[in-house]
Amino acid sequence: MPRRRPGVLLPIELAILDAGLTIQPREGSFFGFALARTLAERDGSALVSQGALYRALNRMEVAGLLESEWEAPETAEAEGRPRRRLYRVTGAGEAAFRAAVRSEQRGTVTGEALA
Amino acid sequence: MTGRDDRAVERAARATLRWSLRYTGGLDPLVAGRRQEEILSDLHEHTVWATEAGIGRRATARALRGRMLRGIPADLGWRHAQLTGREGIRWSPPRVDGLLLAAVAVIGIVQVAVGTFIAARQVRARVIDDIGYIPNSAALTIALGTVALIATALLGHRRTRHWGAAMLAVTGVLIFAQSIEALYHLSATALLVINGVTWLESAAYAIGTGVAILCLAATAQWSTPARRFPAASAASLPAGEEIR
Repeated sequence: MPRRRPGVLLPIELAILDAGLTIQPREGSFFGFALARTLAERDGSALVSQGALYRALNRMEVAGLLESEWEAPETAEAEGRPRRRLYRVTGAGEAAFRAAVRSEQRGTVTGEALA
Repeated sequence: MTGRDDRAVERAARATLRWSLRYTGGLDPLVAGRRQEEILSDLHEHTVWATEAGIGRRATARALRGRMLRGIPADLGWRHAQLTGREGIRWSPPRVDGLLLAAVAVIGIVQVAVGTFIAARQVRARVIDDIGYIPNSAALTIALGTVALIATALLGHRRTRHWGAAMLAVTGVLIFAQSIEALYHLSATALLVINGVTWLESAAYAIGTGVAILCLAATAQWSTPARRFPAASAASLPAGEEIR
């Protein structure tokens, strides 16, 4: 994996933060497939692969942009499904997202961001 | 919907689970177990969602297989990262970038000031008939100051910032030592100081080299193109990191 410069988030990470910040106020947290669905609905694209999605989530949690906890087994059992890993965007994640959006907006003026 | 179609979904889900067992093999059992459990949950949610959305079972099976296959590079990358401990974002606060920009901008302004100062001294020396020629070092310093002015202006735009920093690295190496040599010709006071302090030129080159290193670091920092947001250009992503 090529090095990337500090302070720059990958598009999938930005998209996850964006989708997460949309879902979180409504649901309190979000889980992997809910994110995949939201991203696909936004872009009109295919569902993101599990590999790319969970690797990005893992990396973002390590970086402190997300935090996660496993759902209580009873809740999952009551609904007859495997338990979900519930993610939340942290304060650092939200700050990184806002900074990236501001940065992209500046880049858009010059058209650089679309290069 | 037929039993055969249902089995196609089940086979696709099993294939994904088998693959998850394979690429998590040999990892920390806790990490491996969590990943497998997360994949299991994902497969369940995907299947339930597809059913609710009225997506055919065969299409669902194809989607499950597609997601698994497209994710293989990222899965392998994740495994490698788990084994080597090299996962994680080298994320630093945007403030660092701002500080770097401020530092390089100060370097640019200082270089412009040096060039301007030497230009002023040259004009003054000519006006008072102190010197009848333009020393090469003075001409070079003024030229470097002019280049530094352009470079500093380039720092103002993200798109050209790395060019500005690169230009300031080149001018930075030379301008301080050249300005000292120019002052040797243009200022009697400087002449005395330079004669008395033998290491001054070496110090100027050392400072210039330090400045150049900082500017080159900034060039490297800013030369990576910004990423598109929110949808990504797949070409700009590392292997296995595409939104796919």
